[in-house]
Amino acid sequence: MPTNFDNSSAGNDVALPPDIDEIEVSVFGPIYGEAIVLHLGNQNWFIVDSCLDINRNPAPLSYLKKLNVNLAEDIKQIIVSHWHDDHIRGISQIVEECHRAEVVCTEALGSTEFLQMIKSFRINLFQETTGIDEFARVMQILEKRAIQEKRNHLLLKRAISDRLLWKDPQNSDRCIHSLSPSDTAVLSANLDFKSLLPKEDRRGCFRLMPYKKNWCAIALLATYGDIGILLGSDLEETPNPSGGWTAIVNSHLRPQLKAFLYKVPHHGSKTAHNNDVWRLMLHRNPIAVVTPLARSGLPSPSDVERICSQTENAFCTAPITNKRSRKRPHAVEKTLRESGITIKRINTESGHVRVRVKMGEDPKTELFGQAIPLINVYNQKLG
Amino acid sequence: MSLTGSDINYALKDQEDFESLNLTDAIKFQYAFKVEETYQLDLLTQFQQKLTDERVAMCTSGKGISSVYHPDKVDEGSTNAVSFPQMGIKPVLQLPKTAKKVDKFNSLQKWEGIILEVKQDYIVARLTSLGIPSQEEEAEIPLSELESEDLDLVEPGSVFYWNIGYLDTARGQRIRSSLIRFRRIPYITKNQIEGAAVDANKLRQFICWE
Repeated sequence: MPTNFDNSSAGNDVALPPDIDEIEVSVFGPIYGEAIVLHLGNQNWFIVDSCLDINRNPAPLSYLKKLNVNLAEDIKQIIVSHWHDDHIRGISQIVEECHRAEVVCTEALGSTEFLQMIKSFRINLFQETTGIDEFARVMQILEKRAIQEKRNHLLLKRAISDRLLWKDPQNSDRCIHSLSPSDTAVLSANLDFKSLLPKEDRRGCFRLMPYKKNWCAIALLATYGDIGILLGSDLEETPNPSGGWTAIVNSHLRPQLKAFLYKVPHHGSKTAHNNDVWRLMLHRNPIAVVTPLARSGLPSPSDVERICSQTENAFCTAPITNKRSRKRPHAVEKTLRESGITIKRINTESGHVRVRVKMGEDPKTELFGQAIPLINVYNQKLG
Repeated sequence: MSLTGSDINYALKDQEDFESLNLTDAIKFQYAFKVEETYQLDLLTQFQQKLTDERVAMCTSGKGISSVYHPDKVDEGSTNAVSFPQMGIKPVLQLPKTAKKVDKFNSLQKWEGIILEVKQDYIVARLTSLGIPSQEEEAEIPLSELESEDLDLVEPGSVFYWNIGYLDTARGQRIRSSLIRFRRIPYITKNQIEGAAVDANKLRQFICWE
């Protein structure tokens, strides 16, 4: 699919809202974290995950406020694709401010094992929040809201493979489906949660570190007529073909629509790559957006090469750099140097890739902040 | 020379020193400052019941006091001793008083850290600056920088506090230092685990997914 590409230096206005019939996908990603804002026409807005901008505000909220979107009314769903720190930071603030939005999470995050985990680990014990803290706050907000509104249940929707999450009541061809996690992935996650539960014979309230598997993340397919948008979250392939991308490709229940835009899963890593996704679920030469994870070195040079071999329209929300920390007192710098300690900044200015399209027109891609074409991700020189 | 109550407080600020004097000496010491009359009487009242009238009279007569001691106003070359020529009463010796010096740490940079990964000879840690909240960083810290007593706490998820600054010692030395202290958290109890399970079940029912 042809695409127009503009760079922010050309003077695009980030605060210009989309037209009422215009689809928008905005991907935010500093070198740590990822969030997506989606507009499916008629002021139907969705937020998938959250990351913090340089001022430590949730990047989706800051952006939607710039567009003057009515947060309380127009945000239809907030989708928590999984509970890893880099996808969930600031999500509780989003839930707090978007009163009417339905919160969606995986079946696994509503399991007794996960709920026991969030009840076991104290909130606000440390400066920095974790996925557990954030999700615990989300649950507190939902509980409080249910009590205030005298409901006997929380407004929490579960996502699992091949499930319709949302449909526009006025236009039935505008909807969002969850493509994962599979049943086996949920079972596997519950076993992992069980192993993370605190035990009597060991220290308790240290900060819980999530396991590294990404088998239980929610991949989404948003459709608007014949326009499809595939959002891969961090979903990786699993050893078992009943999970991961293989299960999605093989599913006959998912909408058999090809997408023009692909949020490449798990920061472009090889472990999330499936050739059949590119072949069967995407248009030729789709727009691909990658968010980097600098600490893990993702995307790696070979990942960049692989993705760029699939499409000419690949973008990254930020360059991979080892950005130096701010200047410190001389004595501190000297101590660090003598001790052989290296420190890197992880919350840089959030890059933003925005794609807008109308029915029957070519999509328009705009880059803001540090966002760049993926091919330049290792070549970009920063000041 | 007339000294005020604050002068006396200055001279006798160390209560332990004061109490270590015998009563007679204490009164003589006080009187040597020629304290204001009211203050002097207060002090005497404290001891009067414990001393003979003769001794009190002797101490308050002012006879024989040939010099006045003040710690801030000692002439060079003179001794600190106050001369008491009468009746063989031993002189009061007052050594110059100085505040007890202790080691003091002046922090230039503070972080809260959490271990993300433990490698063979270093740890990868997320740092949150305790001074500038927007600063968030990751560091690779050699294990040799950690205290040996803390090594058993080194695992992903452990939390530490890291201070870099100057240690000013009591002896006047200034040493550039990097101090890493691991947070020690109590063991979780059986009751806490069971309580969390009960709360989780309640919440699960509130979600109403079944």
